This record gives sequence, structure tokens and C-alpha cells, in this order.
Amino acid sequence: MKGLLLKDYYLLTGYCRSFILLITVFVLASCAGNDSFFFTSFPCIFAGILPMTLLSYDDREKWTDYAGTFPYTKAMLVSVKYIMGLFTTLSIFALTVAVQLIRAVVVSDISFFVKSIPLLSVSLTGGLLASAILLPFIFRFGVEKGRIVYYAVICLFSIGISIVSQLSSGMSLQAIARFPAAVIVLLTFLLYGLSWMLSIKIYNRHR
Amino acid sequence: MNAIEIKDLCKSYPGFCLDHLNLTLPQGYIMGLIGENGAGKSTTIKLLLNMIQKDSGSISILGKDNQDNFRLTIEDIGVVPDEIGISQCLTPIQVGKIMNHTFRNWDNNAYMDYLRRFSVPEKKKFKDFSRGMKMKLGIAIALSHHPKLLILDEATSGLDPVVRDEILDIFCDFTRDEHHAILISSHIVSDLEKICDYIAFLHKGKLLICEEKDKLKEEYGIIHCSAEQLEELDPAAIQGKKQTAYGVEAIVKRNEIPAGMEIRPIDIEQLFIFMVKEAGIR
Repeated sequence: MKGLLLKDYYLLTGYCRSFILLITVFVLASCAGNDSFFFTSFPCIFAGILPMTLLSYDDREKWTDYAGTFPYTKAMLVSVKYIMGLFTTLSIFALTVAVQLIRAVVVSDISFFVKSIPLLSVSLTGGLLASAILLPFIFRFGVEKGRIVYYAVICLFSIGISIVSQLSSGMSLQAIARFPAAVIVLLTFLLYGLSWMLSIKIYNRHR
Repeated sequence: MNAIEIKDLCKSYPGFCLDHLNLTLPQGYIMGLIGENGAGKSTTIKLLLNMIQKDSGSISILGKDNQDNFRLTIEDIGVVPDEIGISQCLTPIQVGKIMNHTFRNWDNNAYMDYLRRFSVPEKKKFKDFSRGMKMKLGIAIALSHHPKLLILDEATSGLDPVVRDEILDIFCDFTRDEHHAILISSHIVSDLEKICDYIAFLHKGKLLICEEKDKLKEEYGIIHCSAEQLEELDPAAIQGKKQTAYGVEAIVKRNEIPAGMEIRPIDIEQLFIFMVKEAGIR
């Protein structure tokens, strides 16, 4: 398992540098306004789709077949993508929280940071749900067909965001704050775990 | 102990059927798997490595059923597929670190020695490697955890003759240890003829023959004669024939041909082509 994690870490640093740079720019941009839902939530969602990017490289470079000649179980090959998903999303989430906290300290407005916790939890949810929804499809249908689902989910998500923004004249922190953040995060982790188990089952059966 | 024992192995896809395959490779030997495209070579190798599910039959590798804890068995197998699926951004040094956390018996000193011996640049990215370099890196990976069995799927195809010769020498060195064995599939029959002890012909999912190479050469020969002369021979002695403008060329069983008839030695490639054509006619 360590070998697989190390390989994905090398891929992440080798191929996804521009992606990581873009995410960092988004995180910094999230400090720009008091209610910047887009810039606060999208870094985590971008981070959440990195495992799919890694899978796409694996498929293109024939690693998926080559890995079958090493002492890896199918559960390991699936699990490494979920662990990378957790690693990338939680890292970017921690970075976003840290940047927001620094901003609050700098502008002496800790109450704003406290108010933004539900928004931050929604961004974490968005990132983890991206992997949780897409990975089982990709493990079942392969990267090419899974990509169609990926685009469909991104489209639906964007449409959803735009509808919500129009209906509420911009997503406000107060609106999101009505949801209990801890429950949202807990449910997300539960879904993530279920998706993980489902993907292992799918991969064992269909590959 | 046999390195590989396949009994009544069957696997079918739409348009293809691997039909009751029986193969045995003893330890200390090299077996060449010869067959045209779609003959079932890669399917056999994937079944051996548990990468696809068999329909029926049994596979034993190094004395263990390949359905029982194969993760442990594969620690003793080195595999070189026709395409080395290493990420383009990785360097051989990084690959070594990954493999160090992959195989229990990974020997990094041996790996670095192989890289130097094969002149594989340690810090160059995989995307900048030639096909020959890629195969050499694949072979270094396959050998550096001290496997007992090497499985090579078209490992020499696409390489220039000098590199192929170097690689064949490495395989010969590997089987100097009597506990080591190699199963190698290739289109390049001349390569297999150089190094193999056993030859197996696969054709459309069926095993045409599996025999010691020297025995095949002793048993079969090639004759040139007229069509009338050929008709006088026992049909059972004729394994395949080809009509040319100058007469008939036929593969025959040496011991079933009348004494005095000139029989020339046959190479494995000729034998394979004649047998496949004859199987097609039948």
C-alpha cells in the first residue's frame, strides 16, 4: 500500500502542479470578500477531483494493467484513490481554514471566521462528495465512460449553484449557517466510507 | 516441483475460446509460448497471473494454486508485459523507491546494479526512454525482488537485434539457478529458438504441441520432392506441406519416412508455420 501511495504522491507532484497552483490562488482569493462562496468552496471541490485525474493518468499510461503484476490486492488499488482523495481534500480544507483564520486575525474580525465555519464545512463536503459520487462510476465503467458521469456531475453542480445563487441573490453565510455543520460533515464522511466499500466491491466483481 | 502446471484450462470470450489447455513447465527450464495474434498467449498469461477469471481448469504456480493467496505467490514472480505501465513522469530512482515499498524481497542494490548493467539512466524520466530502455527497466524491476519464475509477454518485440541479444543473455543467466524458470511468449520465434528448452504452439486457443525443443528438431524434418513422391508417403508422416513451382516442401516425421530420402533439419519457425497452416486446412 505504501508503494501505491508513494506512486500517487509522485504523480500528484509531477502532473498536478498547475492544478495545485490554481487551487492555492483560489484559496487566497477567498479572502477577497466577506461572502465569497465560490472562492471558498471550489478549492476543496477541485482537490476532491484529483483522485479521478490520477486514475485517468493510470489508465492512459497502462498502470492499471501493470499493477496486476505486483503484490497489490484490488482493495488496495481502490483504497489508494480514496486515501489520496482524503489527503488532497483535507489538506486544501486545512489551508482554506488557515487562510480564513489569518484573515480574521488581520482584520480583527474573529466573529466573521466563526460565522464562516458552516460555509467551510460545505466546501469540505463538496470536495469529498465529488470523489464519493464519481469513483464508483469510474471503477465500474472505466475512466472514459466515467468521465461522462464526471462532466454530468460538474454540469449539474454548476447549474445547482447558479440556481441557488439566483434564488437567494447570492449565497449568504447566514443561509448556510442554518445547517448544522457537524451533521453535514459527519454525513459526508459516512457517504465517503460507503462509496469506498462500494468501489472495492465493484472493482472485485468487474475487473 | 513444477514452476507452472496448467490443467484443462478454459476461458471463452465472444469470438475466442481457450480450449482445455494443458501445460507443464518444470523448474530450471525456459518455455516459449508461440502463437499468432489472438492465439491465446496473453490470455494464458493473464489467467496465470489471476488478472482474469478462468471458466474452468486449474493453475498451479510454484506448487501453489493461483487462487490461494496469490498475493504471496506473486512475490516470487517477475513479470515483464509487452508494455511497461510506468507513469511517464517517474524516474528509475523513484520507481525503485515505489518497488521498495511493494515487494517484501526488494533488493535495491540489485536494482541499481541492473540499471547500471543495462545502462538505464537513473534520473531520466520514463517518457524520455526508448522502447529498448523501457523494456530494460521492466526487466530490472522484474528481477530485483529475486523471483523464482519470470513471465514475459512479448518482452523482446520491437527491440533492435543487439538489445534483444543482451536481454536473451540475461534470461539465460537467470535459469542457471535450477530453481528458476521462465515462460516467454513472443512472435519472434528465432529468439525463442535461441533460449528455450520447451516450445508450446498455441493456435486459436488450442495447444498444437508442447515438447522439448531438441526433441522437436529430432522428430521433425523437411523434405523437397514431387507431388507424386509425396503421395507415396504414409499420410500420417506428413505434418504440413507447401506446393511450390519447384515441387512440394513438406514437414515430416523423420522416423516414418523411408530410408534414403533426404531430410533436412527444420527450424522452429518453419515447423510452427506449417503446423498452423495444416491446422487451418483441417
